[in-house]
Amino acid sequence: MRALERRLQPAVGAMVAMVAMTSCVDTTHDDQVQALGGEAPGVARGPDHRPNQPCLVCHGGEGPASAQFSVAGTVYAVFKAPGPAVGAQVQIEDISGTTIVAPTNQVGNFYIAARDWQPVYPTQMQVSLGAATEQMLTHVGREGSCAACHQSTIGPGSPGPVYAATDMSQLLGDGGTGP
Amino acid sequence: MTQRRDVLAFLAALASACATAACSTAPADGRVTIEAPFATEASFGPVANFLDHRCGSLDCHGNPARNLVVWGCEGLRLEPYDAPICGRAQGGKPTTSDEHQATYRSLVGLEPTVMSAVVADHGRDPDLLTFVRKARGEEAHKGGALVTPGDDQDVCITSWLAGATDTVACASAISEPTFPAVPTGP
Repeated sequence: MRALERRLQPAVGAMVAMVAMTSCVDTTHDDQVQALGGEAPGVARGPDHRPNQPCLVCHGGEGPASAQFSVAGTVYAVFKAPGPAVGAQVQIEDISGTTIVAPTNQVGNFYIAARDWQPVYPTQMQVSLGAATEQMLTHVGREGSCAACHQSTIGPGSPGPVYAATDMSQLLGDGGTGP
Repeated sequence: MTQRRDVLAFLAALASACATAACSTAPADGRVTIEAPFATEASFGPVANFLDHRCGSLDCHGNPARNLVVWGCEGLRLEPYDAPICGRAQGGKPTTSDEHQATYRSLVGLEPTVMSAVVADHGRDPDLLTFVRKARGEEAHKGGALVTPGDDQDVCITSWLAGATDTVACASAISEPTFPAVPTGP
């Protein structure tokens, strides 16, 4: 009897390990991470990487990134133009009335660390850059990544990237007489 | 011995019944009739617009992966060439009646028999419907409690279920959620 137990022990151990491993793997999350692809050539991991990707896929607490964000995204300067909104102010107000402002960096990225603020959803957002202020027309129900909805292309499920101004004249505040 | 024969006969009858049932198909013209709430633009249009605004953002029910899918210009569009933008000035298009109908089918199709019972009872017990309980926060809902029984949002839904949509309540409900402060810029 003891001999049988000894022979079964490795098999039982392997089975327990396999069950434990499979129960900890979130294939959906892994697929989402994989779908983002690799880093762009010449861009190191950090605040400038992966503009207009859904930041919280990796930075939402499930990894693989160690820095965790509650809200993060990328802002472009002008509607349908590729230039980032550098130094824009992203203002987020949650339903409890708390407002926080985050600046965008040189590629238009902004992020709010999860330890600094956890919004109470829904939230409403606006972006200011130069003379322009754009208020998001709908509220956000639950999503911390702007790019989860604001994908690169406009379509039935995406209004396109976040932008600070509808055109250059709005940004410059010159009524269309700017360069 | 007689008892054994009886058991065998019973088993044979049971097997025969199972085989018959397994091979039978529903009649091609078979229908289950339910009593559905009104689907007209006048009745459901205001409700659909409220649902689009309150529930249909792209990160919530404006997502085809949800059991309840809401279509409209504030979220998921029905046509592949439309975008979730309402204003024509911004290149968008208001919610269409087809989108209202798509939302209607999604909503009514969630629990058709329960919906039928609620409508047959003139909406006296809307809480029987899971989507009402979720909206009221009486059942687990990622979006939390969004409506309070008796408020304009709730009345918009329950009046439709009762057969007489309160369009004033629906129009007022569109202003929700109310944020405590209006952003004034950084």
